[in-house]
Amino acid sequence: MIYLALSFVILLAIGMPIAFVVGISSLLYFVVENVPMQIVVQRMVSSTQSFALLAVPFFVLAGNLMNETGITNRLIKFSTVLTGHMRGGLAQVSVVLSTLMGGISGSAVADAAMESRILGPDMNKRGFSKGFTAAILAMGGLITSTIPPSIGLILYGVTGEVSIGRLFLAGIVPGVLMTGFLMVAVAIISNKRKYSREFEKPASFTDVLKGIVENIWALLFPVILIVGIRFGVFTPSEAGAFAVVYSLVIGIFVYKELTIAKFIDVLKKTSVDLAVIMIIIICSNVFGYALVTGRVPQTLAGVISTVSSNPYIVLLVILLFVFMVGMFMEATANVLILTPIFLPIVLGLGFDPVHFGILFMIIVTMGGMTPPVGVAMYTTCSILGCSIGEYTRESIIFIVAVVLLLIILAIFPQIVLFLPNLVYG
Amino acid sequence: SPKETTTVTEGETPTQETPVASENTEKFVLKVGTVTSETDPLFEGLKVFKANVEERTNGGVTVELYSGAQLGADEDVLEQAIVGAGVGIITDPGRMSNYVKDFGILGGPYLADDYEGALELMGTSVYKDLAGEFESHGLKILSFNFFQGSRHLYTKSPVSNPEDLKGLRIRSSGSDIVTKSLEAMGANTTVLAWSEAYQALQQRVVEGVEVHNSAAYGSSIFEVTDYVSLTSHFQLLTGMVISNGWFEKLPAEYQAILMEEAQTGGQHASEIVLEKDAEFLQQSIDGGVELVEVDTEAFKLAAESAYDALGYRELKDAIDKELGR
Amino acid sequence: MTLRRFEGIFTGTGLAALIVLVFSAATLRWFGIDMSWSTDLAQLVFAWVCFIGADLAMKQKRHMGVEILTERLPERIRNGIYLFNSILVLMFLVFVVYYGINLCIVNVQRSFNTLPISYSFVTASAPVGATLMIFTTVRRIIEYIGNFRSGDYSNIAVTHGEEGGEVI
Ligand code: NA
Ligand code: NA
Repeated sequence: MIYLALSFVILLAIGMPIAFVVGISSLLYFVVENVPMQIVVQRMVSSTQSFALLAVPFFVLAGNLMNETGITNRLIKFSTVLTGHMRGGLAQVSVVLSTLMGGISGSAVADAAMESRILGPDMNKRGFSKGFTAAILAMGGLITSTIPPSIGLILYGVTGEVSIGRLFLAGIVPGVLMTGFLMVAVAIISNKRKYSREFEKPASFTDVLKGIVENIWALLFPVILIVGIRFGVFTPSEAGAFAVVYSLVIGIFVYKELTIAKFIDVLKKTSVDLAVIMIIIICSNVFGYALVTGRVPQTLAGVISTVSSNPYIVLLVILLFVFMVGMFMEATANVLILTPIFLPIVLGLGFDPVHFGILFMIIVTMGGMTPPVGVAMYTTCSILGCSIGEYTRESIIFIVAVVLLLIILAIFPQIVLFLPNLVYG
Repeated sequence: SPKETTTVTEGETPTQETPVASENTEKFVLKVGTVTSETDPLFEGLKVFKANVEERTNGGVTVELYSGAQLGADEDVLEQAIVGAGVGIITDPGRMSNYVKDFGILGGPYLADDYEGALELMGTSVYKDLAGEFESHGLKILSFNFFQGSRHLYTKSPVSNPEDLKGLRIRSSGSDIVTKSLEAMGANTTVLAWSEAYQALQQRVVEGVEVHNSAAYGSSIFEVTDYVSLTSHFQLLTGMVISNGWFEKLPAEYQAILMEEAQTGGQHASEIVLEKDAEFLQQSIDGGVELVEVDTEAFKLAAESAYDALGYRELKDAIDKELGR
Repeated sequence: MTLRRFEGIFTGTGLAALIVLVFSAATLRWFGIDMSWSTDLAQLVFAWVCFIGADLAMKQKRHMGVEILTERLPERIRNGIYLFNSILVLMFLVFVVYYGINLCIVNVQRSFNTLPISYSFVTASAPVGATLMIFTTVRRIIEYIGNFRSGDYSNIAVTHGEEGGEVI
């Protein structure tokens, strides 16, 4: 096991792609422990043979389709109507947009990239600092991935065998609260720096109503999704396929913006996006076999139990650890590697797997937004031409806002659990 | 026998007789997986197996237990065993029939009437010959007596004979034996994962399931069905199957201990299942399903044609003959 | 047709097929029509989309690593580290090809869910995908060695600019 850990750290440090770091260090374990090598290949292949995991390509595709179907543009208009009158108007718009996008898209990075391209230039023109713009656009993605559907929650559910339907329902309230927390943070900065508004007055009731009508298909989708999964109309994977077809129908027949050529482009882009994440999943499955047969979860549980007998302190230690790892490693690998290690421990302490899943996934996903390593951060910074240092300074207030929310969610599990318990009983 | 395990080095006489246990300094580890949870009676049987093997081999063989498919699905663990890993799994005749086709007959309808009857099957020469064939495929059956229960029908309309089953959509696991047997008994089948069965019943995608009482109660099937017919069409017998390559490296004494203790473990698990079966049935009845009087002989007669459909006719006759029925 | 173009068409078509298979099976199930074979077929297709797509992603240098240490090093040393990494990856891929083929042969009897085909058709996706990645890796190794000769390391620049690379 020591070979596995050592090779993992060394390979990671010298910049090897994470999928191969995981694959090669696992292979070394198999060699040292004299486990037949064919099992490496078997675990790689078997990771793709989970019906639940098919939800991932579908929701990635549905998210990528939104921009080409005209859904995104209409949601931007609607968000502007809702929050344009506030100080730092466009920044507030971006937060609300992340929330609305969250109902169809399951990816924080995709949301951050799209918003940086579409809202970023205008935010710079309004005189918002580059660091502030990059930070809020990256952190806003966290709302998108917390509100269902969520790729992160699907991966957690598949890895930890936790009901994806329950996880989706549990994500709603924390996602909406996160919108509130980030909007407050934006308001504090914007008022201090006197950032500009889009409109002088709040929009009229009729304007809001018009916006709702125009966006009814996008606003309705998360409702259909949740109801459909809850009442067994479709499984989460089928819901993903349904989301794609739904977006296609709206793009072709309702908004009439989607063409065959655009669709093929989106398919191409999505298949590469998918491959990047799947190769990590594939190699992590080998790693998982090594961890399980090496009895790592049991050993670590023993170590952790010596830290404290108070379950909340243990939870805090685990979440802190996840946060630190998230600063350096990407979300996909973190979910797949850390879930099998920590989930049994927190279950043993009496925490609910859905409650833990929400806390865990928010922190893991936030890893992509915290320096020094993070894809959402790289993406917004490179599109906006912002330095990592500037980003880091300006992101602190948003990270603090999310951490505050996490503390509240950790102490009051009912905030997370009441919706799934209400609907599922 | 000590002959096989003594390593001959210079200056040592190969005929020297010493107790086996002290010679075997080499340690062995067997990882046994199951897809069920740790609360399943199966796991209790595995715990007995582990404790007894470790004690009797003086720690020479360590048994590690993995619940919840941690080692992989049944087919995956069988594959790991075939390539020589020290692993094993509790699995059913259907999955084993990939390697020795005829072995699948052990999952056939009404091949045995109950657990005792299933144990009788293990005594037949047909079983023993088939079980032996796995060794050439890299698999070793330690014992095949992990009984998980008798399968019955939980349905939305009352079913007391094959006529009642006509046109009803019953959930099948997808295994050929299950599908063909249900069809022979009169039903239409829909293949679904067990995890989807509850919702499928709720939406009337299927109108019934064939399942054993503990699993039926565990998945709250009583909430979405109205009747239970105790057809006992299958005796769900599973076995502990491990890597033959790994097994053959063991000293003969250890091999014998493993075989014996797998039998003991299986018996222990089966006893718990039998003890709790009535309890689970009662809980489902308390939950609202109605017990239907069943014409078992009619189902038995109807199910017989499944053996023709599956190509098991000759084998079935041979078993019947050996058991004198 | 270039290999890259073929891989693009293969994965794009595979993805579209996945939607058709899963969506139609779910829809037909509401009418009581059993199409469980289609979800099994979807899983077969998914394995191939993943492993062929992996090479496509590799060709586009989309597999991410942690670069905070390496990007501070002189280009020559970085080139050396990348060369070392690529050789390790090559060895890993060779393992996958060799043992993957072996597994396909040894356990050809394993059947694939409800489809009347061998599970080896699924397993084969790994050695095939790894073979494609071997071509890509070898080409890259040649590039890194060439860099030492020419002294020009411009092609190793790490671009965080590439959008995405992670979909959570
Ligand atoms: Na979302
Ligand atoms: Na980070």
